[in-house]
Amino acid sequence: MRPVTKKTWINAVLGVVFILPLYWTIVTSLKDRTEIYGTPPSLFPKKPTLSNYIRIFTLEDGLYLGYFKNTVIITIITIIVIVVVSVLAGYGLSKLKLKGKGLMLASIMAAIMIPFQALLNPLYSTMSKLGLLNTMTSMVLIYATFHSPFCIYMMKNAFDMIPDSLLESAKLDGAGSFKVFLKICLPFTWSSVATIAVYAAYTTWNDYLIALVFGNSDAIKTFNVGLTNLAISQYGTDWGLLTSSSIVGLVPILIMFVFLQKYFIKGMLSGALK
Amino acid sequence: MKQRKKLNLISYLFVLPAMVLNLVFFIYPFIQTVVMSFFDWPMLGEKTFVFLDNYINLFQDGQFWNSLFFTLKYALFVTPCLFILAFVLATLINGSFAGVNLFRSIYYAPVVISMTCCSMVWLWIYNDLYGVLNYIMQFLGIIDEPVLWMNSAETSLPAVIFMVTWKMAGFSMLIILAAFQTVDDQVYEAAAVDGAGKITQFIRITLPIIRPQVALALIMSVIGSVLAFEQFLIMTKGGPAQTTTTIVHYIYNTSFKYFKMGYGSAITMVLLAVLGALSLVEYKFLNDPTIN
Repeated sequence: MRPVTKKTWINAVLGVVFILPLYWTIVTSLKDRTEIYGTPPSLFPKKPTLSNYIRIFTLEDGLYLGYFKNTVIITIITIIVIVVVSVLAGYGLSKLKLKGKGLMLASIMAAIMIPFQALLNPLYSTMSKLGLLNTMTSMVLIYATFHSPFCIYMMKNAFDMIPDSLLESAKLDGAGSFKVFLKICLPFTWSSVATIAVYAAYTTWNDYLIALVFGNSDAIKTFNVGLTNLAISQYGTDWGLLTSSSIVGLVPILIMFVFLQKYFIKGMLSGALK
Repeated sequence: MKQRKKLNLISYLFVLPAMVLNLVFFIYPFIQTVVMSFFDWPMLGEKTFVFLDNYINLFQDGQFWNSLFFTLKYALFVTPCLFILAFVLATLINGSFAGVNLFRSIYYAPVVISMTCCSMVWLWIYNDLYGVLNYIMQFLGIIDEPVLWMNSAETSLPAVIFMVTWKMAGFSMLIILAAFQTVDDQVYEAAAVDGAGKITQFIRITLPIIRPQVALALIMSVIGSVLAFEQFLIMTKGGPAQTTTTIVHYIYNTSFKYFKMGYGSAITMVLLAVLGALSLVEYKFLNDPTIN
């Protein structure tokens, strides 16, 4: 047992203050309309109700629920694409003999330095030329382009740790180059793969700007975009629905955070070097 | 000994997907920005070559300067706030005591929540009629009348900065905490033997050692602030009278609301220059041998 010190108490007070905004969101989401707009605001819901959560499912015949479904689909596909692209490229740039490797690495580093926010406008015309506007494909492609460079960089570092002599001896034993990659090198890097998967999930799930510009039709809208549309609706803001949607939107990422904390923090810390 | 290897075509398949993405959706758009910035390009109409006209217009565009200055002002104010809180938090969770992991998670949790959700949640807290903040402040006697937080830049900027500080401090906290832990305990013990107090130790030992990481985290925070968009789009809608429009927000409006793609590209070039300058500073720190 760690000792209970003065630090514990100071942290406990500050921790409560830190959590208050989230507490207030949960409390609001459990209130009915009259209580939400009642003064003074009640710190506990008097008659807790799930009606705000139920409305997510029923609103506009499930259209709103579809926004969540879209986000899940886009996130899962993006994770797969980013992991595959990054593992392959990380291995290639680390262990394989390639002409122009320096140039490739430079372009990867450049994509880490220059964020998608700065290239919104030409990306739009590129997608328009490819006929991909308002498709999930366009969003996945952009996420993969701008979030994989950092993941490639991480994977390259992970593969760099594996000694070349190990590869050579495997090759002497007659293993083909793909087999060396799959059976010998990849198993060493699982923790890095987990880290980049978490990083991809987090960045995609939380994205707003790309989803706003490239996914503005109802069929592919993500929940973040749907959420802001709710806030700016012509009927005034529906705070009950808004807080319940926020909770639904942040719960998956918080659950992931709790279980994969190690990889999460590792990913974010390395992300700091971005 | 180096072994002679033949260039193998299959090797290139490994980097092919990454390079195709990079070329089509990064390099090509990047070049296109430069080219587009010399054109008058309404989204649906014909493009005409205007050479430097977009840049000349930019100079006379008050709204452009407003958004550039507003963005820099925001970055200038939010960064110290973030850092002071991050330093306090990092100091508070450094060490081994009951609940340390829980508190680390609590301070870090807002970082993983999307900026969109955070902005929404705080918009509700700041609400002028039903917001809990106005209620608490009235209850404590700090204010007499509910404040319309989002109605003027004087109140909305501090409100957004407060929200972002709450959301992002955990991130800087983690970098500073990691830096704290690189300092060898023996150094402190030696200093204590020489009679140095806690504060002297912090200023004379800790700060100089962790300077590179702090500098890096500072630049990260500045770059992040320069790219600010969601928090202002959602919380202030860039208003009133576009006084809280950030540079990314202005690019978004120009390109996707007024459909002036060429002009939007010229503004993008300015943003790229700002980011480039910041990245150069960052690069210098990354190559600093004192950072491992």
